[in-house]
Amino acid sequence: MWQKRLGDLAQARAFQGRLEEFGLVELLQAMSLDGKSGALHLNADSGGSGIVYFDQGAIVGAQEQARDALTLGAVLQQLQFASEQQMDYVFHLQTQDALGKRIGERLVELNIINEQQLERALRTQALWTIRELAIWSKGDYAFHSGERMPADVLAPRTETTTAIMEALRYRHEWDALEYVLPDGMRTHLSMASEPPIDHPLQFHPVAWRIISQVNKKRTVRRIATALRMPELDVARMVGPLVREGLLIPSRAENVPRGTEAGARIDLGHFDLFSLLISMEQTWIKCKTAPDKLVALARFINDTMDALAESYRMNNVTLSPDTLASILEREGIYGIGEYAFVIDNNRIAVDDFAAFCRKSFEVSGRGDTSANPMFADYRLQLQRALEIAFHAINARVTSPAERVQNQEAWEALFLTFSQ
Amino acid sequence: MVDNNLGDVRERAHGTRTLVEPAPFFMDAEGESPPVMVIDDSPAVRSVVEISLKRVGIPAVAFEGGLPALAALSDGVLAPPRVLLLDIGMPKMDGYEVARVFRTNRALTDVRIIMLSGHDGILDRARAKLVGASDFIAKPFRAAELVRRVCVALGMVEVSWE
Repeated sequence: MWQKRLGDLAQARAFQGRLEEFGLVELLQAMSLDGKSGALHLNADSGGSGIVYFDQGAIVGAQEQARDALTLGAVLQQLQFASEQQMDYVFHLQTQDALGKRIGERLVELNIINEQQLERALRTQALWTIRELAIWSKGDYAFHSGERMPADVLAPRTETTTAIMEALRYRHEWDALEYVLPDGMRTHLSMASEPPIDHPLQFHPVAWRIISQVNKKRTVRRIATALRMPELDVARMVGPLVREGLLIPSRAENVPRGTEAGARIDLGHFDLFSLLISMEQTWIKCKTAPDKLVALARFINDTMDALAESYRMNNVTLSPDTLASILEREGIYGIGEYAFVIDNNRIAVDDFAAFCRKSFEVSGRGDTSANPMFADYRLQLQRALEIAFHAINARVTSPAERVQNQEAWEALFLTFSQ
Repeated sequence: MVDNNLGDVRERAHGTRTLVEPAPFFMDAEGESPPVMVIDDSPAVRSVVEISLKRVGIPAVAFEGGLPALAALSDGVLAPPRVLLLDIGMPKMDGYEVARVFRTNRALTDVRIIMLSGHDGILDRARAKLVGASDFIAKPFRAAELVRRVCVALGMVEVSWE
């Protein structure tokens, strides 16, 4: 009966519904059974939302879309792989050169953590995020088949059974905690104005360390991160302190942003959509193969110009070798035998245009769509543009906006390919 | 249900198999049709407009051409929108032709039409006005400006990008 129910779920044409009917644990089982690839979107009635990404039934990423969502930095500190000072230093580097490397890569490069620790932290981040999403009992779910994750969300592949076991274990713990920590790890804690009159005021050393970290602005998650303890361990200790009347949980609003959020440049001024529309209009007007290829190179420059302007609005200077470094990281140095001339985040378009004209004079002109060389060059330039978009998009704070941005530029690339 | 003068359109739409299959996600939470419809053959424009409007809480439904959009209206899959963003240069049925159908159909006459066009000449604007468009947005446009104009057409007072 149980298997049949899951089978029905997996085969449902419209894979969407209510979490009251199927919770995340059941949905994970269905994904695994069906070997699905795509993104499972969850929206809690209480306002939270999250996404779990799958590749052939295995979990490859998970994110909660909330201001206090679990970050890689928090996990690294809670697992005692990195200290607050080290993370602050890396965030500072990230702000100065936000497109160069991801935080995890930078930590490895600085020998603060090794590859294995990074992998474990990424897997832990995904598992802990999923266990939080799994306690939502009221809300909607919808599976978007084939939807790819933003590049920065990628976690090591995790079998769904591991996530299911973790979610079930957490749910069991949650039964005892939900009445004292209404927002889970995002519950804010404050001290009671005075202790209960009959309280002995004798504390376990860990409990005392927790109390010492409490102020109105801190969540359980932030306290755990500051103490470099797994947040569930801290929550277990906080539970009795709340019940005894020493700590008061609250769903405070106006939470100050953590350092990790600050590591993302405010890209509110980066008008991607207007840029995309402008590119499309330019593309439509290009008739010949060289014109189109040069237009693509210009789009890359326009993107970098817009990004540099956004940085200026944040009082940060974009590193002049940003474009060169992100292309180099992806192994893109040019197209065909031509090596891009890049200076201060701009491809030298005149030089590139001369190369294009010469190439197509030699190869013969005619219909661009039928010219294999054009198709090959176009794809390489499009790939470079995509990399620039990805690098920028990874710095957008909202995961939902990142997914939408990706949808929009993929739509533009459809026009390029027509 | 849009009932009159659409038989020909319906036949053309179904005949050319361009009808977009109706799906429940066209409806908002109250089960009503989105207030904004976008008809544009450009995937990028459709995507950008839909997402930009969604970010300020305005549901929109997009079609790649006039025929499938009119078929969805004539079949009762969708109620008439309050605002139509209509591209002029489209294959099979251009924006002027679609606008004329809207203006000659009783059930669609209240729809405010905003024309989108890559050509921004005086004649283009005049022709758009002649077919009943209430506004004209030249491409390339700024997403924020498009959202603002839609909000004006919807009679919304305030718009927030937050």
